[in-house]
Amino acid sequence: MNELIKIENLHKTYPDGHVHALFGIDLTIKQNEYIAIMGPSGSGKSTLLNMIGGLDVPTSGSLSVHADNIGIVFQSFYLLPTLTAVENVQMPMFETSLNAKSREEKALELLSYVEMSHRPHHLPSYLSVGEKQRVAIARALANDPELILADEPTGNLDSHTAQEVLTLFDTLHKDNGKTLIVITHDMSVAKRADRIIHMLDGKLV
Amino acid sequence: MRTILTGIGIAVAVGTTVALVGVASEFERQALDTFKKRGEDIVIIAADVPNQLSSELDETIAQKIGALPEVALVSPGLIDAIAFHFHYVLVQGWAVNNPAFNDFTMESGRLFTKDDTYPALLGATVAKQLEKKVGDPIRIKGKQFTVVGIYKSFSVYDNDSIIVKIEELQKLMSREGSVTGFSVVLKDAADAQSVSEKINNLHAGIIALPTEEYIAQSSHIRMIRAMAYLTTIIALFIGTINMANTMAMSVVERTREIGILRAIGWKKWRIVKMIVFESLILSIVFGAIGTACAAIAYRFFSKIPQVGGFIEGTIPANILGLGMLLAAIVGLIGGLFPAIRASRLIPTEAIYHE
Repeated sequence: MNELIKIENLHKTYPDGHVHALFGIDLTIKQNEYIAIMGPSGSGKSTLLNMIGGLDVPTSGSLSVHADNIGIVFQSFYLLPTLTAVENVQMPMFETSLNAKSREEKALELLSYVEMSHRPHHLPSYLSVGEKQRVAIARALANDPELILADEPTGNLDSHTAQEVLTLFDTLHKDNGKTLIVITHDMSVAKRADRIIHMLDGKLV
Repeated sequence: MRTILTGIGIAVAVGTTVALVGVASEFERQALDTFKKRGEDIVIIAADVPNQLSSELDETIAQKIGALPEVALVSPGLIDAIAFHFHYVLVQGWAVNNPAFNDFTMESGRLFTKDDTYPALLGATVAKQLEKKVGDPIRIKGKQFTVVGIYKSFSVYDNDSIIVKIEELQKLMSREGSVTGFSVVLKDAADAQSVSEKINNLHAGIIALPTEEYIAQSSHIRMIRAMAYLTTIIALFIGTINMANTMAMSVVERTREIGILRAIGWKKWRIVKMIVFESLILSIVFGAIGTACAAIAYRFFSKIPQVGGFIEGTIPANILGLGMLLAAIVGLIGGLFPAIRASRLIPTEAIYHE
């Protein structure tokens, strides 16, 4: 398998200089791997995920991600509250050459894929937490990403809904060949991954 | 509410600019029209004076100018501004045979003849403002004149003037033998530049200019134009600051939304485009409202006597276009800096922003 992510001696210190979130991380992730990152709060899991997703910049070290598109799923979903489910899913597609009709068709297909075709025109405030997370996953898949990053995707879900989401992740990994990196505190979630990485105080252990 | 207040500010700034630039442009157009419709190609006044009101020339110069082979006609003119009940009116001294009389339509009475003593012709606007009719007396510089006719002209300047015999006005102004300027009709209007240079070399202390140049260099027109441009700059500045403030506040309030958009893959440039587009829409919509209000106000003011008939018709399309351009500039510049700031937000910090 090809190398998708290569991280060498990655450091992250926040601007006040006192919080050293990552200490010399070295990590290689191959295509179509399913990785779980575990560790206590403040261990640097989310910081590492944000660096891989391009949401934050490292202080030093090197990080290369060979993926054209990355989809991100957050614990708190972060749907735009004034847009409907189908509109939220369309948002990443504005960076593509799809026209409005194609964007809507594709968004509806994705909602159908995550079993949300029954409520495409509802605002997030009218959706259950499980439905919100499904919409967020559909949005993460909008530009057909090679890499999906999920920061505690089941953290706010009940056990039944969590299982449904995890089954969806399994399908994305096994049937669609996506590379997944999932942050979790839950060992039952981590066990579904190909590899578990543990972090403590900004280091891999 | 903040957006509406900002929009109103932009509408007022753009509307004021459109109205002022429209008035300046109308002044210039009216003045040029007056010369052009009479076929007057060159205006001559004394050198080193700001306008014709301050000019004084020997009327015999007309003979020298009239002798030039390219010249068809030289008309002397004497102009003064006189206050009637705090309203300034132009008093023009014309020769009895001035061909410009042919452009007048008499509303009542008649033109003056060489046999009349101290006759006065009143433009329609002045007659209305001073509530004068044919046969009424009118005091000009302490001398009683009699209104012999009330006329209407294509020129708003003439409609706002009183015309008396040139020799009688010279006496009243203690300027016998002198005039404030000459207007020259050429056999071929295309010679205006070259004949102007010839006239300038003919007599020291005078300046002859083709009518377009004379209008452009007139101190009144330049002052009005300067005021209009100054207002435009101030409006642009205030509008831009106002818009930048509103958009900056909007960016602060939408920090999380911007962070989410960045996190789901939006590039920095798309964030810039989104905010600038919103700013442009806001300023163009309210700029259009301001421009429309200015056009309506202009039309209203052109019909009231207090304006003296100095503005007529409607604001030209290019001035309305200037208003919209101004609104677009305000939207673009006002939105650009907050947009750049928004695009530089680090997504993780923006998402967790409270």
